[in-house]
Amino acid sequence: MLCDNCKKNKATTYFKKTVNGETTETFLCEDCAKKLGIGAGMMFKNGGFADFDGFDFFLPDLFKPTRLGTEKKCECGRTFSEIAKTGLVGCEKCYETFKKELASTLRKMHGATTHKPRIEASKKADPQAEIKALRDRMSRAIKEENFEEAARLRDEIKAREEK
Amino acid sequence: MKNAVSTRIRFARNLAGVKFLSSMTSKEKRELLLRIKDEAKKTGDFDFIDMSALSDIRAGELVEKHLISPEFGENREDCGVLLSKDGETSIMINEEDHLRIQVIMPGECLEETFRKAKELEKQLDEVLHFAYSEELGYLTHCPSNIGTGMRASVMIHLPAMTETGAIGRLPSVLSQNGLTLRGLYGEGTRAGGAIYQISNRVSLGLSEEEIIERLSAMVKKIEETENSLAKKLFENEQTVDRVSRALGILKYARSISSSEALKLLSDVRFGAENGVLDNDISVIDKLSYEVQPCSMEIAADGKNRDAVRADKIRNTL
Repeated sequence: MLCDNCKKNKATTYFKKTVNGETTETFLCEDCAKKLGIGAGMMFKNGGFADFDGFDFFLPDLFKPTRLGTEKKCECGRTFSEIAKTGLVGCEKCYETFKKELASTLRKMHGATTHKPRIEASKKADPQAEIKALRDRMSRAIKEENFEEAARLRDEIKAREEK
Repeated sequence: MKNAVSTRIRFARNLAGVKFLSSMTSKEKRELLLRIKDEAKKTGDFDFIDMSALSDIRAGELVEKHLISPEFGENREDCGVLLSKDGETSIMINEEDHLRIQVIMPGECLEETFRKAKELEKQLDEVLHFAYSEELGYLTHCPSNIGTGMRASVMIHLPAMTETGAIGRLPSVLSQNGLTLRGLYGEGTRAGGAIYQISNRVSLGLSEEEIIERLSAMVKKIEETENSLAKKLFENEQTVDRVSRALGILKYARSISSSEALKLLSDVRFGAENGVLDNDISVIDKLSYEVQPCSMEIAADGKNRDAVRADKIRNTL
């Protein structure tokens, strides 16, 4: 049997994982198992669950080129297939060069494609944004029945609005 | 909040205008290391350790103290670390990213650890200027860290959930909340002595504060579950007997391996968390770090490690 990840070498490692009731079985060669951080040391010995964390996914699934054709190169020299192979980009500009290709990767990894800055960072630009962020936090706290925190946030919002 | 052993925040950061590590030559990495070291020293009183010059045992000790990651302890070429005097802050240079800024504090103190890490990160940004985009946030070597570049973790002792198997349900619950369960030393490691790491898996799309809130709320819930299970287990005299015997062995043993010591210390902590034993939890946690193989090897200084370990535990308890 060939490795599910590189599809080249003979598979030597088997693992099974269940996420939200869905079980997947995977066969990997030694190199890929090592690269993906799967090995004898990864199982929790006592807990009885055979889940692994590290990568919850496989590189070929994560990094799918949007279209085929001549490979474009970032100014650092990296191509998208190289990124797909290692899971690493070459420089900060890669995110711009391969924006389209990486968008689906980011969605799979994070369920999002844009950054949400820290509250104080957005405050500089817009005090209203901060109040809105605090309001969001307050409604979440109420939903989670964390009333102590909600009350604290309510007071904070009030104080800021009075400024 | 007796179950939390420690809280950790780390930021992955790269210098704007400098290629990421996998595109750099060894010479370039070396130059970067020195540059970051010199600039970072302006922000605080740090000791610098050149990782390439460090022995395996000394590197292992830093891993055991959670000051560096296991990968960083192994691949030390062109790497360095800055450590604060209080042992709470470490700045890994040339790990996967140019910098990994980390603060670790005992117990559950997400707010304070976050505040401290953020403060340092801001100071470092002023002298080093990190790669950042409005859209994607902090740009990292691996897209899995992009956005906040932050990993917040709480190390937590969950003996009752481990014993009853309830821990098995945790990964899927955490995963639905963008969180994940890891072993004692991070990705892909074993949970030793029923200690786990709960941390965020997602770094993009949620603000740092939101990540901290989610984690904090989840830790609270997990502790409630752990405590109610523990209460039931301690209704059984066998559990009381087991944790008491564990203390007995630790108090009188003349030679003890690291794995036996960690297991028994976990039992004693379990007893102390539930008012069955009156040991100070912070003392047990400190011992749990100190009795690990590399730290013990250094302390033993050529003498029999297991005997020195038993002495240390006996004298402390």
